[in-house]
Amino acid sequence: MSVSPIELLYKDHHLWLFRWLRKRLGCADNAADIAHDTFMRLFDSAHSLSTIEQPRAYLTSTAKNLIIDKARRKAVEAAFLEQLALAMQQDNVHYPSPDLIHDAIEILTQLSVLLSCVPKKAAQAFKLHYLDGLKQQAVAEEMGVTSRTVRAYLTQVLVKIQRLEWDI
Amino acid sequence: MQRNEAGTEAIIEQAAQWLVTLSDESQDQRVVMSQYQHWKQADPRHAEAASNMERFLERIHSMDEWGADKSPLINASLKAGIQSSARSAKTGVWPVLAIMFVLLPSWLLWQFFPPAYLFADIHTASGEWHQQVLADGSHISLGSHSAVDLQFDARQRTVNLISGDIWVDVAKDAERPFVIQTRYGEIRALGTRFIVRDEEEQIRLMMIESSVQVSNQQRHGVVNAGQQMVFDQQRLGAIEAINSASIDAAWQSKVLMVEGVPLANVLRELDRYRKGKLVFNDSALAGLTVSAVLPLDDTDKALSLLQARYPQLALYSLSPYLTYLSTE
Repeated sequence: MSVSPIELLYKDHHLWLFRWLRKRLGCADNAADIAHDTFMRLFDSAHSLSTIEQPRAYLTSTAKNLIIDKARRKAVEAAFLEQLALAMQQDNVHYPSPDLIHDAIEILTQLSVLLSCVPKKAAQAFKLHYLDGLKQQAVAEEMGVTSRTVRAYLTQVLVKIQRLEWDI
Repeated sequence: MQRNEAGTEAIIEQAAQWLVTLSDESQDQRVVMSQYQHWKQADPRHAEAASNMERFLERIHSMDEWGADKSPLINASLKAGIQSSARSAKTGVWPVLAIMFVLLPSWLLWQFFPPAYLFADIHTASGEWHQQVLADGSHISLGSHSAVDLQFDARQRTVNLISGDIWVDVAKDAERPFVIQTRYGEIRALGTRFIVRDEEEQIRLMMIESSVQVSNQQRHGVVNAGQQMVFDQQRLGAIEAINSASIDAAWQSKVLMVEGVPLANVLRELDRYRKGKLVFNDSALAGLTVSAVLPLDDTDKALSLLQARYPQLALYSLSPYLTYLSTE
């Protein structure tokens, strides 16, 4: 029986792609999902698999795009606009500029990727401090940990930003 | 290299710590800021490592513009974003491949051997012939990949042709007509010899001896020895003359005799007699016709005979079960 090109590609590249993703994302679950999705994308694409000259480069760029996938962006956008409409009904707020909305959706999408790829407590500390504006000592009290631990959590999330290799 | 990478990791970690210290309210911000600038200037890699994090935090702070109402906005959006799986559908490649591998053989089986074929009274595999004397003394012979059901009672002898072709030499029985039922109509005989072939879109009847009556939903017609006719549900085709003796002989000696028949049709017929599948592109073969006598019990030989006649044909055996034919 002959082996299909996608099978060959999968066999040759799945493991390192998974490792590459896991190193960047830190969470094995998401890495496995995105590795799978990357190959699914190949299935769907019109690309003739045999013509991909540099599979690694192709796979990593596809995977990077998938890390911030469209579905997630859409979910964020829908929730954001719904909440915005609600706020405007209640407070008579002026409609913000499209640029401002776009930027906010962008950053919130990246944030949701970032926060789903770090331990829950680290994500919580990051949110309390940088988004809700709690002081580090207040975060420590809120979470019942030392401020030293809070510092470690925050550092962990910031390091992750670098790992995700976004063009910010 | 190893040390370089470890060094970069350490710098990233330091950059993150500086940024955390910068927003630590218990520190003197002015002092920390100048120390941080100092650190960044000490090595271009320091500044580079910090730049992405700095910009990311700046963008987070840019949301302060949304004012006091930003919390519900941020919370709802983040919740939706974190819940949204990175996967649009919960299917990976392996499940899909696994389903394909499991379903493909049964799909193929279904395609090649539909249930009516599998449960038929008599059926033949590809490249197999089967001869049988029926209870009334009639002889039947089934070609490759053919199937019939038999239904004999006191009033009628019925052979239901499910697929493929059948050669019949009917024993005379004035009391009980012999009827071949096909998907498009029936062929009624009293005592005669003929071949019926199910070509899927039509039925082909080739009379060798005597005559039969053909009926479909609309019409009746009589076909005599040395004649052939194709019919479907609505239409009875024109009567054409055939060399019935050589057709009979060809059937007996398991050869395919064709004269001026499109190559694609010949290949389809050979395909029917092959264990594996013969794949070819109809349109590439348009205009090519064949007059030949080809062995049906050795289709590899038949293909090489065709190749000798048409050198532009290229055969690729992808596996014992798949042969691909193309034109050069």
